[in-house]
Amino acid sequence: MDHGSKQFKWIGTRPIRPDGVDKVTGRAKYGADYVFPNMLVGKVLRSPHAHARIKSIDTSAAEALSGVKAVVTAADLPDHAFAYVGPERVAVNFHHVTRNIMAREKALYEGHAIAAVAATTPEIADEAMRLIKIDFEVLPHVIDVMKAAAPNAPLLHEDMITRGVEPAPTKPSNVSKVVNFGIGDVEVGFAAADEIVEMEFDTAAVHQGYIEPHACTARYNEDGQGEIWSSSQGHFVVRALTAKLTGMRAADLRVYPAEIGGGFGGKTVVYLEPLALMLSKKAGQAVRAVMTRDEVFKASGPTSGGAMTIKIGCTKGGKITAAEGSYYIQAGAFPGSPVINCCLCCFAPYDIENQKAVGYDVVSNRPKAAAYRAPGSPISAFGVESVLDILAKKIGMGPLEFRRKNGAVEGSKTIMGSPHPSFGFIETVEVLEAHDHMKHSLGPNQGRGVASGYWFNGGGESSATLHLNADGTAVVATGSVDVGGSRASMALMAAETLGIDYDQVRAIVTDTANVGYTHVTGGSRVTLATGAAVIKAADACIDELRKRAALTWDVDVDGVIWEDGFAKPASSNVGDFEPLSLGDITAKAAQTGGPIGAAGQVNAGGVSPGLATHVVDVEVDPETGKVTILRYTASQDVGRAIHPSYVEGQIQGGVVQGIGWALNEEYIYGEDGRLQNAGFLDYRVPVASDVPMVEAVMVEKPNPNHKYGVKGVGEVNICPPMAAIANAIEGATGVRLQSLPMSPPRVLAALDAAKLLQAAE
Amino acid sequence: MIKPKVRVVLANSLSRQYTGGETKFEVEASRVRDILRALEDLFPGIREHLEEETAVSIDGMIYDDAYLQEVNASTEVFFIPKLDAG
Repeated sequence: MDHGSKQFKWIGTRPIRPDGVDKVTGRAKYGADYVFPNMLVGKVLRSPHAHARIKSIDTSAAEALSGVKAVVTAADLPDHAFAYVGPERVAVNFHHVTRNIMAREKALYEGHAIAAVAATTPEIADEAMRLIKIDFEVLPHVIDVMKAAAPNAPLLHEDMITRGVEPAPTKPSNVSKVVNFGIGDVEVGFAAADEIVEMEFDTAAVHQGYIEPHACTARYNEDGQGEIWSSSQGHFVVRALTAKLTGMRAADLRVYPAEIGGGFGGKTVVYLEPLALMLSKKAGQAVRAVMTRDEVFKASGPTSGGAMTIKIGCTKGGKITAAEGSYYIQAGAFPGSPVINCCLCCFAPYDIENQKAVGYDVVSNRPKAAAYRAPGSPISAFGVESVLDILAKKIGMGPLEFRRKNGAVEGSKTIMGSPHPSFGFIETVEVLEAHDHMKHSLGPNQGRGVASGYWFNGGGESSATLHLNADGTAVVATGSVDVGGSRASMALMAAETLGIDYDQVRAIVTDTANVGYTHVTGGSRVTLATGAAVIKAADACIDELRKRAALTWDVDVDGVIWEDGFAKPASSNVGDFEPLSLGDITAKAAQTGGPIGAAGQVNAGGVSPGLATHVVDVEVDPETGKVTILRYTASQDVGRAIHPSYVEGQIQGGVVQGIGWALNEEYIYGEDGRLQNAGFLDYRVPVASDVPMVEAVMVEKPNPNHKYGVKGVGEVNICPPMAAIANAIEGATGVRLQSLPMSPPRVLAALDAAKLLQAAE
Repeated sequence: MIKPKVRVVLANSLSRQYTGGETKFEVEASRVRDILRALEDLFPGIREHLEEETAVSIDGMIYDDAYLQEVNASTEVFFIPKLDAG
């Protein structure tokens, strides 16, 4: 239950981050920092072609090279039957996964792994890769999502029949599946509208842009036990995927979590780990593999780009009567884009009686898409929030007022028909309506834009252990990789629950052998789900502390309560005892039954979504098309902020990544299907000088289903920026941009086209 | 023990596959587990699909493991696509 207005001692405070010293001193160990005796260098040979049949691979010359200890190809990995496993939205098909980590019949994108080598030096590994002979039959390729979905496109998977269509098509295509969602009747809704806007939009594939490349060290021991040290967003998922892909049992593989230099969704899958493990198995030595930046761009999942059509109608009074969207989303070379999320999130902030969304999951000759911060939702938000801006202008209503008037509340229907839970959307709008930002006047070539966004947030499986020490300190260990401050938030929740000082709690992330299964750090789930596991463990410790106090006092345990870190008699009838602190009890633990500790394991439900509304001011240089972000204010329903500084950091980080997606970032392919900008010099992410200080405005509407009101804060902040900036550019120039990124050449071209059109009229 | 009648709503894709297009039902249940049993009796095979593929929204709150969640006559239960981490 929510603690309501109770003042917390630790929840909502801003202690110094527990991982800070190790990180600023360089002691923190990331994926590439693990060193073992006789460790080998692992490298991956990748396809130079966007699409090619692999007729043969000859590794004999490479294997004969002195210093080469192992060569691995797909032939060394078990194959898997064609079957989708798990819920449709995130279904995994190991027939595809094994082909993504190592190509079998075909190379399906430039950078697709073909073989891996382990050698004593990097130079020998490079020479070995040069000696591997591959007979390719180069095939026609397709990069663009709409061209890939066209009937006569080159087929990546010659036997792929579109799922979700009845009757099933008789011919294969690159459309993996079609999904439909809707409530009400959009035709009726559009008939009731006074204004209707229908437009097409497209977004580019963008990379998560984490600073640390994928890296791991693997050791396969003589007894059949494997160990992996890797940088990931979830070492239990690394274990599960690697065990499956290499034919091992989960218990025979132990995965240790390294510190992580950014993931943003992109490190929820495996690339190197199964290959390094198989190399180690063959070589009998530990193998370390680290991607170059070029490999990160070409071979690890960016998020999808997409093409969409959005149609929304409203009355003159500002009531949205119907909304419809169709989305063609890039999956990369294998099925599995976030197209369902596009459909489920697109209209979610709004209370719309009639809505419909159709999604198409489309494969093309690009690296397999991976999750990226609210995967799918930012794509559809770009189109939807742009159209809402146009509609608001058409009826002469302010963009915030239009959103507030149509805002969903708790109980409003989602596009699935189910009602929304705790929902702080309108509050995110109202806080901006009253904000100083909206009063600030704009100058020439400047414009202001508004947009909103929705993300489900997540729950799911998490585990934690909590051990109390004789000196009254506590160690909380979880299976959640600390990407955004989870060690601090877990320690805060443990301290609050136990009633001890934050400084008395040490929070760590432990390996797969030391705590129960814990799903990835992603989906904005950890503070809620792993937090619930920590709270459960703390509650169990409190039960044990009460028992020990009861034993000490020789009273019934029901006569002991736990309050503010002390065991106290429940009433004067129990007896006149001095309260016992946690430390008093743990100091005597040996005499009262032994060490005190507990595990907490949950499949956390009761999730409430994240909502965000942003306002941005931009200035557009009419000579160059460069867009400068002048001011940015981002409000977000954060539930209750456990550590407000981390929450603000999440909001600011999401906004900055959204600015990059809006203005500069894109995968640029040549006619040959090869990526032209696989490096940070040519793939331009925002740098500090590109962005002003982003003002994060936290709207705290606690989740009633979590003890401390947690909702999840990591993702929704990336949903509004692209449309907010597009709306601001339109405000500054009168020109509506419908394609991302809105880079200087594109803005300039749009301005020039508008001038030509104006002159012609 | 007489159990209350609970309103249950299935996603369209499920109804196409299992129920001939019907999406709304009333079944006697005091917990979600009762709903799964009742639907399985009506539409053999649907229970496994519901357990594997869907999350349960009970009056708006979403649960992945809802077996023991209590429901009553005023409850509306939706089976929706399972929402996993992104």
